[in-house]
Parts: sequence; structure tokens; C-alpha cells
Amino acid sequence: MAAGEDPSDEALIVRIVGGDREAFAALYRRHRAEVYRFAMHISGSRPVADDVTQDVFMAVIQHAGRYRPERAAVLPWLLGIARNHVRRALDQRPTVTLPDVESAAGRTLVVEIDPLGGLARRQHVLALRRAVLELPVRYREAIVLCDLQELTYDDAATALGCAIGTVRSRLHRGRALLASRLRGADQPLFRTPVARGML
Amino acid sequence: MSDRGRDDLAAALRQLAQSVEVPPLDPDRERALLEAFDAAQQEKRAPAFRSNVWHPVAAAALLALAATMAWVIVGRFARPPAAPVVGPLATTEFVLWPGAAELPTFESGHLMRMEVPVSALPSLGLAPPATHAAVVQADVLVGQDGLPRAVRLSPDF
Repeated sequence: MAAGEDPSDEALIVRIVGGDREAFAALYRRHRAEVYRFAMHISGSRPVADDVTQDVFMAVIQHAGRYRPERAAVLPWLLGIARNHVRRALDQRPTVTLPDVESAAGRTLVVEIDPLGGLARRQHVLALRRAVLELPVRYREAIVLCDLQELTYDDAATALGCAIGTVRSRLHRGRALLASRLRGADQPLFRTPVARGML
Repeated sequence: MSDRGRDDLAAALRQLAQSVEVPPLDPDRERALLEAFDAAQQEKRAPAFRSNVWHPVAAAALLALAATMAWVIVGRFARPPAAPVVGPLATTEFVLWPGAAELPTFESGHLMRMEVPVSALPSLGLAPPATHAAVVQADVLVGQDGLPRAVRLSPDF
């Protein structure tokens, strides 16, 4: 690949099908993070997210020739593959690993101007993550793709293999469930000025 | 959900989106993928290579088969027909009729001599005799219920 080139995802796929190793490495580096985030948001587990990310790109190696640019952009196609792998992983391992506040990220030594505010913010993010993970997976997928990863409805529909209307309705239902669960859990997310201010 | 509630939720979700830390690129994982990519490419190329290798082998095998057939045909017409050879001794002894073991115990019966196609003999467990005849005489032992129990080639087939 020549320096300074920024080939499109579709062009990379064409080259991958042709056996171009550099194109594959470029696609991996470009989309690895988005695939990881998706898997992490859906599964709540770092090991699952790691494995799914690897599995998705293994699938690209095997099935890049099946990609049809007229049907989907590359990222939704990859997230569609990731979705299948995450679902399989969740079926094999039905318990969701919730993020640990004492995890490596939580133990990172940081200097905070407002330590109490920082702690409360982390707790609220954790509560929200827990609420997302407790959503039925069909609503969780719609929330993650559209609200967290900011895909268009069209791309989300491609990744989920359903109609745009279905994405809209799942999103609507998912958001309502999320809001009610957060209220039901007595989370101060929408109630106190402190919480609003933090978010 | 009110507009305000929707905005709050959207903001909270944005914060959640940013909270996921993606681990830095792991060179080992990337290397493993690239090795898998190389292996897949080699596998893709391998069938073409194998078929190229097998083309001459297949041609040689065909040639050998054709030569053998020609040798057999020429040999058959060049030599006088072989004298009939009496089949092995076993062909004149009774062998159990296929499936007869499942039938009621043999109490009484009779022998029936009949013509049996040579081609059917192997399925009865009999070695076909060296003969050009299409059918041979066989003795079938029929039980009290009219069902065959055993068969043999007639001694004077």
C-alpha cells in the first residue's frame, strides 16, 4: 500500500479477496476498535469482546468474497458478523460479566479535581451499563448500534438483518425500558441536579 | 418519555459509549490473524497446484487401464476358449439360503431342482462355476412351510 493512500473499506475488501495481506491488516486496524466496542457493550465481558473481535476478522479471512457492497457498508457487515459471534458466546455463557469497579480501569491512579464527582460519575456510568446489559438482547443491540455507536438506522438494520422499521421500534422500546429501569432502580440519573450536572 | 428525559438518556448513553476502553493493538493477536490470512491464501492456491499435479497421474492411469484392456481383449481372441473348469467343491454342498436362519426350524421338506441365473449365484453365497452358460441347475431345499432353506449347485450342473 503506498503511503498517504486512504483506500475505502470496499477497496480494501476487494484487495483482501485478491490475497492482499496489507489490505487485511489495514482493515483490521481501522475497524478493530468499533467491533470490540460493540462486542463489549453487548456482552459486558472483555474476554468475550477480545475473542469476538478476533473471530470477526477470522471470518473476514474466510468469507471476504461473500461481501456485497451493494447490500451494506463494510462496518455494518462486520458488526453483523460480530453480532452472530456475540450471541453464540452469550448462549454458551449465559451469565453476563458486569464490569468491576475495581477493574484495571478503576484502579488507575488519577488526580481528580472533583474526586467525589468523578466517583459518582463512574457509578452512574456503571449503573447505566448494567441497565443496558439487562435489556433483552434485541433491544440492547438496537441501543448499542444506534445510540452508542451512532450507526444510521439503515446501517443498524443491515447489521441486525432486519427492516429499518424494526430497528426504530426496538430502539424506541429499548430506550423506554432503559429509562424505566433506571427510574425503577432508584438511580438519580434523571432526578437530582447533581446527577444531571455530572452527565 | 419527555424531551428532557430523552435528552438526559441520550447524554448518558454518549457517556457510556465513551467509557469503553479499547485495549491497544496487540501485536500477538495481529500476527496470529496475519498468519491465518497467509495460511488461507496458501490453501486457496493449493487446490490448483494439486490438480496440476494430478493431471499427468490421471493421464498415466488412463493409459495403463487402456493398455490392460487391450491386452485382455487381444488375449481372449488369440487363445482358444478355456476348457470348462469344475467349480470348487463348496459349490456342490448346501449353503444356507439368505435369511433362512430367521425362519422356523426345519422339520421336513423336499428338494426342488431349478434353473438359477449364474449372475444370481453370488447373492446366494455360491461361487459361479467356470461356464459360459447363463443359467445353471441348482437344488433348493424347501422346508415344511414352502420356504427355501438351503441351496447347492446340482452335481451335474
